[in-house]
This record gives sequence, structure tokens and C-alpha cells, in this order.
Amino acid sequence: MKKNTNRTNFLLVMKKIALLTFLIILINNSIFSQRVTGLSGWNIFLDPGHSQDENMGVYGYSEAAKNLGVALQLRQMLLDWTDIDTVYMSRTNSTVVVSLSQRTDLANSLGADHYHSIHGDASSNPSSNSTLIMWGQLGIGGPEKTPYGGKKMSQIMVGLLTAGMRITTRGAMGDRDFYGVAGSTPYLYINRNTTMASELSEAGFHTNPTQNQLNMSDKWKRLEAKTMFWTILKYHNIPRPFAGTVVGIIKDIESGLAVNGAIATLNGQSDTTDTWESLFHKYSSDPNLLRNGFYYFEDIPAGTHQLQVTAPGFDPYTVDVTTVDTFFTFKDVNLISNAPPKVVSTDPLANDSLYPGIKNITINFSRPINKAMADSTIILTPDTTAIFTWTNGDQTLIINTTNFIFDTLYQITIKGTLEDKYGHLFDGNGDGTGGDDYNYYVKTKVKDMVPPSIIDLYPAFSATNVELKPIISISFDEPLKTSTISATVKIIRNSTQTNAAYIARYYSINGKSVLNYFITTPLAENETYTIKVLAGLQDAYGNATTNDFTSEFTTGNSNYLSQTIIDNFDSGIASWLQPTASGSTVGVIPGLTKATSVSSIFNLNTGSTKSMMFEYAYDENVADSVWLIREYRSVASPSFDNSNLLQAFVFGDGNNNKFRFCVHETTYSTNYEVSPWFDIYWIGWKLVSWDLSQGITGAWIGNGTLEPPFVFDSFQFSYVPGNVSAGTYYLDDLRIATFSPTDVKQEDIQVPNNFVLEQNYPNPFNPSTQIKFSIAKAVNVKLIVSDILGREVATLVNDNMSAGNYSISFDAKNISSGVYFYTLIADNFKQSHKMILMK
Amino acid sequence: MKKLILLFFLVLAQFALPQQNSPIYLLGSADDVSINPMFSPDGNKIVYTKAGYQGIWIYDLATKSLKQITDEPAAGFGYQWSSDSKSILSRVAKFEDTKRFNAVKIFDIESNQQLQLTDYQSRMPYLPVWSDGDTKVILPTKTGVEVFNSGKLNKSLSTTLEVNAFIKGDKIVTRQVLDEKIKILEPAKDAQILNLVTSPDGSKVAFEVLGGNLYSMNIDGTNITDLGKGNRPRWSSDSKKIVYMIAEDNGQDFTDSDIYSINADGTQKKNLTNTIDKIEMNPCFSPDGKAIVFDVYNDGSIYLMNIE
Repeated sequence: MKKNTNRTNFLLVMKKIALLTFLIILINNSIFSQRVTGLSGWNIFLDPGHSQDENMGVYGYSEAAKNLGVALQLRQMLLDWTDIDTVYMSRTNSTVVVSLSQRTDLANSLGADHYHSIHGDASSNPSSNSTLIMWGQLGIGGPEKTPYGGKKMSQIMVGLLTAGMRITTRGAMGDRDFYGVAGSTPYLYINRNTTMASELSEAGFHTNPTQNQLNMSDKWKRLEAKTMFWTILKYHNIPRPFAGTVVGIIKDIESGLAVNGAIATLNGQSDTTDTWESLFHKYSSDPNLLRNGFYYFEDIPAGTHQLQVTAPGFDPYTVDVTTVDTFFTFKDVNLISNAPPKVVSTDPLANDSLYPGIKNITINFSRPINKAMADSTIILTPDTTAIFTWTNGDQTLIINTTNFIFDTLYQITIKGTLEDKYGHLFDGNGDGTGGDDYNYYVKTKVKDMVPPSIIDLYPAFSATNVELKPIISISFDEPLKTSTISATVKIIRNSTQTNAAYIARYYSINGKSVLNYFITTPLAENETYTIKVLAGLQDAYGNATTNDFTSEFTTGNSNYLSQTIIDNFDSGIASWLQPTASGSTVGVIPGLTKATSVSSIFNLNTGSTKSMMFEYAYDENVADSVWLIREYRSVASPSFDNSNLLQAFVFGDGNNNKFRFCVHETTYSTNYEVSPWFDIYWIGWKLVSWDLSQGITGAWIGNGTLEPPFVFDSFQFSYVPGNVSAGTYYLDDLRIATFSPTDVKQEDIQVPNNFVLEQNYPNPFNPSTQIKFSIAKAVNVKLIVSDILGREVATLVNDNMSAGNYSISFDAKNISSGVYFYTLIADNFKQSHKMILMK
Repeated sequence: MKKLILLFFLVLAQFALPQQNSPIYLLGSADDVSINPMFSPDGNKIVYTKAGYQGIWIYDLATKSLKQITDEPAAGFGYQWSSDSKSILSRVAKFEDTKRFNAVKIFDIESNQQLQLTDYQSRMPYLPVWSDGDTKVILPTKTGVEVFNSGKLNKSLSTTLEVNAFIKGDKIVTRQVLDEKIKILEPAKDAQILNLVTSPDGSKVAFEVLGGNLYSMNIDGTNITDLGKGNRPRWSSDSKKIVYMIAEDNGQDFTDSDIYSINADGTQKKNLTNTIDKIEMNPCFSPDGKAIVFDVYNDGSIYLMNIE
């Protein structure tokens, strides 16, 4: 009996504890998920804009899906947390297609109090990302429509939404002011045809890769919804319950990339950032492509709490977070990788050789290094005084080789006691555990006594039917002493022994070099020319060639004539997605594979002023040994057929990796055809052509048959195992062209006595005309086109040019009809002529 | 009746009877956007509203005169003529601070007198309909219907077979006027019904399904006919044809719309407008079915067009 009494008491105590625990939970919930009052007698119609997967964003996640997710969460918040009469919605799933008229008709028939349309924005510029809220406005500069309320709601929402998303804003604006279209009624249909107060929110851009990876997250959509929830409370002057919402982005401190699968713990709650397995597999087959690093906690009480973050491959992180009641409590986290630092690459490669004083040793580490420890932990044998220079955020060490002696084996030892900036020991053998040494051997070359030799030539020896305006290319096996080039390299018309007119460029690439001669005045038809490299051309070490080199080629009567410019890259690369933004791109290192607009290297054959610099870094260890980069052009114009050449000027790096064109067959939305692969064996500029009329294709996701009309889809690249896996290309003047006879006649190549600017011909013209000019001596030349207000509309020449007679074509396809002036500025000479463009 | 028909033809004659598919401009402009025109049953007048369905105006076809009946918000959405062409039934709104209050009113178009049938209420998710030969007005409620006297003493038509039809979410509710017998129809399960219109003879309804097509159906729920894509149907006075619009939008604005007519059984679909630069919307048959009125979204005007 005694025993039974004790058991009864024990059970009573346990029941009391359980009851107490339940009450504590109940109290907590009542504090943090309490219902607010004040919305009774009011309702709202939520309109998630668009339907199904309309307005597709980058990585295959649509604006319509984001809008629906936000609306569903906002509805639930209003129903769960307030005494609102009801929440209506224009759609609750991604299957129906709801027209604009149905959306407003439903809201109007229900007599809703307020209408809020949820949207996201789009741009051809992938960096664009901002908020915008638009209320119905009665004309540009006009007042708000009646019933009032949309403007007030917009003004509240734009502040909260922008601050919550932590992006910029275009503001809360009347829709007529934003669109700039005159009229007496609101511009947007939902503002114009609703019988209640209304507004439309644009929460960021689904064309922005970072934003759209966040949009995929249900938690991010909840953040957007919560800013709207708080907006509605503030609109009604209802005090907001304690905010208690802690959010942030978890990133790798070194790469800046968001971390997938990070586990954040706060006040007994846990949240894991999205992973490929949990979310991103829906949008990409590449497990490493997509990430957002977003975590989100609600119902966090006031006070200071410890936020703990763990993630595979990273040091654990702990920080105190004090919740604020004014808004979201933001706490971004930068995790530090726990991988020990190691050497990822060297130049020269291990056991390779270099020329001392000409080439330095470069060692790339996987992590930023504590460079203060370098002098004592990086040892050169034989002992040599060398200057260490750290770059790339202390991840790259450059060892100056000026004091190295020729024909000697050098050992560079990096001790296992070297640490990265975060205290991780150096991992010399790359086994994942720090503390061991790394030995790297480099041999210095025998002092170079050998002059440079030609390794590639365009046009090839004895080539015939060469185009009249080629890029003549002479490649060498080593860098040249540039001061010896102009006196030794000539391109001569045999019959007159006169020089061809050209602009020359020298490029040193990966231990080799190339001379590109951009012919400015078309070569004579059916003539033989000689490329001469005279004795005396020196390499970088002063070794001069002792024999003349000559190679002849013969022109035909044709030239490559541009029919349609797809992109000359002069306006930048806003029309192109970053390569990793395409779901087709696999097997690359994301941060090192990118496209950039540059004006340092571009094609001088066409009057271009910019090009696309394309840097690639293939992951040599990728699973399945599949490498593909799709550099996608997002503008679906112009359209073209299969009667001509698809061309691009490609500046190669000689790494022998692969390149091809891809076109989209617009009649068949899923058909994409590619050219055969081109091996980029060359260095410097080369015109690459895919003759569409031949019908020869490579294999991708088309049917192998060219079925016009086409629009250009992408440049594609791939890796050839065993080759150098990282490099840089430049791409310029993507176009449709023909190889056709030209009316341009060769001019008498004599060095003129004066500077002359001739009248263009034809004039008037449409759309192109020829401008001839003469240069009396080598000088910087500028030839510009300006409109009647003096605004420069084109720069045709801006370069150092040798003396000679020149002719340049001006293509005015992209400017409107009118009177224009072209002006030649050279030395003290300046002259203008008028020309008339009549379209 | 002969007089009415004669009057209608006289009215059309004043507009030099348009060629088929050659619309005649009646009223409105980009600065005075006018929408949602509806012929009066006698064919003499057109009721219309302004952008945002604010206010009610009457256009007299004989005199080409305009008359404003009210400027109240929402008055122009879901309005209905009385059978005698003398009154307009509508649900109006007023806004106090953030809240909307709704009331049912009958507007006398001659005297501008208003008969307010309900108090202003904060939540009124249904539209009123004429009933019992226009002597009554019914307003669906959450639990049933409210019935109001319309002030009209003489029944405009026989109510022996009259049936009221209205929407409640995904259901269509029919109510026999004589015995108040209720029948609930679910022509598209779990799908929101909208823009329900009853044929003049009370035998059929036409309606849209949210995110779906346009349908016609016998009032007893039988013979559901999918009429394809379409919005905002209105019946011809002989209850045989439906005129409606097929519109295209980009999610933010309309990009195209044309007007079609079709038999209630889905046959003889006919494109009445086929323009590339006009966005024709909100059509309504004339009482004799020989013409339509409609508005053009992108110029804010209302047009009359012979369709014979």
C-alpha cells in the first residue's frame, strides 16, 4: 500500500509537471502567436499575379509560382493571427489560368474592401533588383483614384518590403507616373477596373539570379508575406505584436557563396537552409549550382539568444542575437571552412620549367594564408633571396625569380606549420588533414639562345581565295620583344610591293604570342600577298631571328559581308545571362566561370569597341565527366534562316578546349540545334563560321536537322580532359554573314603626302556607306560620326595607324534617318563632311 | 410591342444604320473612359458606367443625351435594368477610412429618385437580382436570401415559372419564385463560379468558371455546354444566343480582345469584331438581337454595331 501511495504521488507530480509544461507552451504561444484585433469588418482580395509558370525567371523558377506562394502565406497569416472578416484570392493553385478580367470581376462581385496584386519584376539586365509599389493614378502627376487607400498602403508597404528584402527601391508611385503614359484613368488594369482601393507590388526581379534563388524558398516567400502582413496592420493603425522574427543569410566567408544545408538553432528552434535534395533539384541537375543560405525564425521572444550555426565542411559558429521589436532581426552569418589550406595550382606546373627573371612562380592556395608566417615556413632550396608578393586576398603567392640562376632545379617547400588566416594548418599532401609539408620542384631553363619561331599562320601558306578583309595572324612559340616587330613584320602586295593597310595588335598568351593584323582597306582582288618576317625579330630575351620568313597567299574576289548583326557587344552584355545561370551549365567552378563586358580587347576588323570576356574554369573532378557551359543570350531576336553563315570572332587561348554555336528553332519550342565543336587551338583573334546552308550539326537536344526560322540561343563550351582547364576567351561581332564578291576596289597603295577626308559614297545612303581617308604619317587617328546636335553616335576609328589610304564602312542600321557629320581628327588635321541617312 | 420595335428602328436609322461590323461611336473618350454598356429592354437607352465602375449614366439613343443617375462607387458593376426600362438595380458602396460599406439601391432613371433597400453593410459578397416580376428584389445572404419590395406594384411578366439564380462560391443556387424552393447546382465542383447571367426566359444560365471556360446550362442543372474560352456573357432577348468577349492579357494589362456570339448549345460561334488595334469588351445585344453595344478598352469609348 505504501508502495502504491508513492507511485500515486509520483504520477501526480508528473501530471503537474506536464500540465505546467503545457501551460508554459500555451502562454508562450499566446504571447508570440496572439491574434490581433481591429480587422473585423474588413476583408482583402489577394491577387497572386499571372498563372501556372508564367513569367519564367532564371533557373526555371517562375514569377507566378513566387506570387502564389507569397499570397497563400499572407492569407494564412491574416486568418490565423487577426480577426479579419475574410481573405479572398484570385487563385489558390498553379494549375488554373485566370484572366485579368476574371480577377477583377471576382473581386468586384464579392465587394472586397481592398485589392492587392502580388508580382515580381523582370529585366534583361540580370543585376537589376528592386522593389516598386504602384497605386492607381488619374493621369500623369494626377491624384489617386477613388476609393482611396492604395496610395497609403503602397507608401507603407514599400518601406517594409524594401527593408525586409534588403534591396533598393524605385518607390511607391502612381502607375501613370511610373509608366509615363498619358491618360485619365489608372494605367494598370487592376487599378483601373476594381471598385475598391488597390495597388500592385513588385518584389524584386526574378531575372536576378541571387533574388530568384531566394524566391524559390518558402521561407523567403514568408518574409515577403510578413512585410505585407505588417503593412496591413500599420495601414489600419493596429499595433503590431512583438516582431520576434530573426532572419539572415549564411555564406562562406571566402567565396561569398550561400551555404546549403546549414543548420541554424535559436531559442530551441532549428532551421536548415535549402539544399539540392530538399529544393534545388527541381530547377537544376547540378547539385552545386543553386543556393540561397536563407534561414528564418518566428516567435523568438525579446532578449538575447544564442544563434548556433553548423554546416558540413565549416567551423561551427555561435553568436548572440538580440531580438528587436522594430522589424525583422537580421543576422547574417559568414561561416569559415574547416578545410585546411592547400595548394590548388602552380605556374609553372610542378617539375616544369621557367625562364628566370622573365617568368615568376605563382602558387595559388585554396584559402587566404597568414602571410606573416610565410618567410619562416616557405623555404627555397638552393637558398635564394626572393621577394614574396601576395595577391588575390592573400590566396596567391608570387615568387620573383630575378635572382634564380639558369639550369638549376629549385625545391620550394611549404611547411605544414603554415596556417591560413583562420588558424587552420597547411595540408601539404592534400589528404584533408593539415600539418604536413608540400614540396614543389621547378627547373630553371637553360639560358635561351633560340630566336622565336612561327607556330601558326593565317592565311595559311599558299592559301587561295582568301577574303579581302582578313585578320592576318602570326603565332610564335614564345613572347616577342615588341620593339622589334614593326621593322621586321610586313604584309606586302606582290605586284606593287606596297604594304597592306592594317591595324596591328600584339598579344602574349600562355607563354606564346600572336600578331593580329586587322586589314583596314580591303586587299586587292585576285592578288598575291606575302607575309614577311624579316631577320631581326627578337624574343623577350633578345634572341633575334637570322633568316627571313615568307609565306604567300592569294585573295579571291569575295569578302565576309555582315547581313545581320546579332550582337556586337558594344552595348555591353546585358542580354546575356551569366554562364552558371543556365541550368544546362555543368562541370564548372561557378565563381571562376563568368562573362564580362570589356573594352581592353576587341575585334578591330569591324569597328567594334567592346567585346565579351569569357573566363572559364572547368572542374576536372566532376562526376560523370560531363562539362558543358551554355552562355545564353536572352533576347529572342533577330530571326534568321539557314541560307548563310553564323559567325563570331573568337579570341582563343590555345588550350584546345571546345566551342560551338547553338540556335533555337522557334517553330519547335523545344528544338535546339548546335554546330559541330570547334577546337580552340589558336591564340588571338579568329573568325569562326558555321555554314548553316550545309545543314551540318552537332548533337545536343535537337533532332539534328536545321529547321528555320532560328534565333540565336547560346555560345557553348566544353572541356577536353587532359587540357588546361581554365582560361579566357573573348567573343565579338556575333552575326549572320555571307561570303560574297564585293564592289570595293583596291586603292593604289602609295603613301599619301597629305591628310585627306573624302566625301562618303554612296550619299545619301541606306544603311551603309564607305568613307575614305588618307593618313600622311603614323599617328593616332580618330574618325567619329555625330548628329546635327553634335552628339557622337559612333566611333569608327580610334587607333594608331600607319601612313596610307584607308576606307572604312559605316553601318547605320541602328540609327534613325537624318543628317550626320563624320569627322577625321589626326595630328593637327581635323575635317568634317556631311552625309545623309535615308531609310 | 410594335411601337417599341418601330422606335428601335427609328433610333438605329438616326445613326444611318451601320454597315455590318462597322461600329458607330456613341460616347466616351480616353479622357472620359466609359464602359460596360447595356441596352434597356425597350431598346431606347443604354446604361453605362465609368472607369472603376463608378457611377451610373444613361444615354438616350433618340436624343443622344446623357444623364447621370449617381456617382456612387461600385454602382456600375453588376447593375440590372428593370423590365419596364424605368429603373436600375445595383449594389453601391461607400468608404469610411479603410472600410467598405455596401447597400442595395433602385434608381429611377426619370426622377433620379433612389430607393435604398438595405442599410450600408460591411460585407455584402453577393449581387442583388430582380424577382417576382420586378416587384421584389432578392439579395443572397450567407444563410439564404433577403427579399425586399421594389416599390413596383405591377408585375412586369408572369412569375409562374420565374427562377432566381445566383452564385455562392463554387455553387449556383436557384430559387423558384412561387414556392421559394431552393436548388443547389455544382456544375464545376470546387471551382469558383462568376459572371452568372440568367436568360430572359428564365430557362438557362451562362457563367464563367474561374480559371476556366464559359458555359451555358439549363436552369435545372442539365445540359451543361462548354462554350470554350470567353468572359462576361450576356443573353439575347430571345434567350437563344450569348454575346461575350475573348480577351488576351499579359498579367498586367489587356493585349487583345474581340467579341463573339454563340448559340446556347455551342453552335454557330461567330466573331463579330476582328480588329488588331482595338480591344473590344463588354458586349450587350440590342433587344431585337440585330446590334450590339460594347466598349473599347484602349480608347475608352462605347460603340454601337449592326451585326446582321
